[in-house]
Amino acid sequence: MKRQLGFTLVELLVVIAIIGVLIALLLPAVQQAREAARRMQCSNNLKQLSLSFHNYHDTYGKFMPGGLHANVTYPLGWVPRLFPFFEQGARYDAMDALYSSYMMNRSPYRSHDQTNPIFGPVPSLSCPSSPLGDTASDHPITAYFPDTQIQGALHYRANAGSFDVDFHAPGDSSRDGYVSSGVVYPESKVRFGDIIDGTTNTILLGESSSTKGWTTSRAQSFGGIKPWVWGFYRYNATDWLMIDHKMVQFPINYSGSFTNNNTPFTSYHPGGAMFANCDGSVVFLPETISLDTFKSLATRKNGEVNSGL
Amino acid sequence: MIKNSKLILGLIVASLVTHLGCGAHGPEMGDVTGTVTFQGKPLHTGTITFIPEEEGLPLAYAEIQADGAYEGFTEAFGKGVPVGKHRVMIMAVQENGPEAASVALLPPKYSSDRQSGLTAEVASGENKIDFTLK
Repeated sequence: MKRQLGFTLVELLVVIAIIGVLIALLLPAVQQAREAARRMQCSNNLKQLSLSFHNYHDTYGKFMPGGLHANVTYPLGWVPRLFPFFEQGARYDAMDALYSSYMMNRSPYRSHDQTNPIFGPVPSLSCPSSPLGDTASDHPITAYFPDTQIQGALHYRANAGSFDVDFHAPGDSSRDGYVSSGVVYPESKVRFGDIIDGTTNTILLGESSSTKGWTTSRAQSFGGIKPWVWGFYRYNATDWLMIDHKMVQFPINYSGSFTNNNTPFTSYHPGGAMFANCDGSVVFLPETISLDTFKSLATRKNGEVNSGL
Repeated sequence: MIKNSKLILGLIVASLVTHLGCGAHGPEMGDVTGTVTFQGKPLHTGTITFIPEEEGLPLAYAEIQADGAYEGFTEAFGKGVPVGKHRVMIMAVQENGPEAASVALLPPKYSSDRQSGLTAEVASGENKIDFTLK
């Protein structure tokens, strides 16, 4: 029998099939590497912000309140109060140059300096995995809010506490109540010493960077992902809108109905969202986490034992 | 040539075997439908969340239709709710469009699984579970 030279067609096909299988295994892995890199960036953002909270606490002896009695409607919240602690001090000074004690007297969300670039995107405030981008651009242009493409996005919300603990019913039942079991809530003055559950077991910041599955009107209402220039709204002593801080009421990546103070924590990272704890550690909580565990991580002094995260 | 065809046959069998067990085998599910009434009238909007008592089962949801009817589903496995006991929370909201506050239609307790007092026991097959809210 004559020895055959070269490859037969079948051998060639087998080789191609094997290479095809290998590529099919590799390509999704490359995409996952990109997502892993974006998630790491998001985790860095939360780390920077939580360290800034620590430095803020070192300076003032407590965390800033989520809401207070400002001289203006739609006031600024914790984000600009944190600016000097994550190298945005120049932005803070520029605000005060526009008007003295800017934060207590002016509100860029609807009223003042809406198109000023000072109120545009800020580093560390948006998650790179979110297609919403670094401006509050999921919002339509309305008469009240014409500058949605200009004002900077905020994809991280402070933790006001668990819906089941220390709930304050609103005076007007058409409004939302608020909770005071977390770290940043209306008129809060929480110190590290008040976090009795342990700073490792208490959420400080959570990610809210996806509107996947939300109806348009859900995404655009006051419960949507608002720009950082809007911190809170004080109707009166008992009724508050919590915009840059939220209570924990729904599972992670919940896409059903919600109102204003309970916007769910959501992200485009597959299977969960990033959270920063009060000790500065950053964790990825899966959306399958039990709602009881998630709520107990939101309380600062309820004494729950959390196991098996 | 015979050798080669055996090789190919072997490869085909191997690939079939490795694909076995890759199908989406979820937990045991039951279909859940029903209606939600609030103060005697059908609730016309809202989301029901089924929180399984047993750890490790997926959460199930249902969107309430205009006539108060709902059908449970899970994000991962589509129609159906995992079999077993569930705590239930219902959030219904009047959405008021852009740049406005949404208004809750139900008392706050119904939007927590620990306060609502609502439960559902799902068996495999068809289930009809109605919720009557006051």
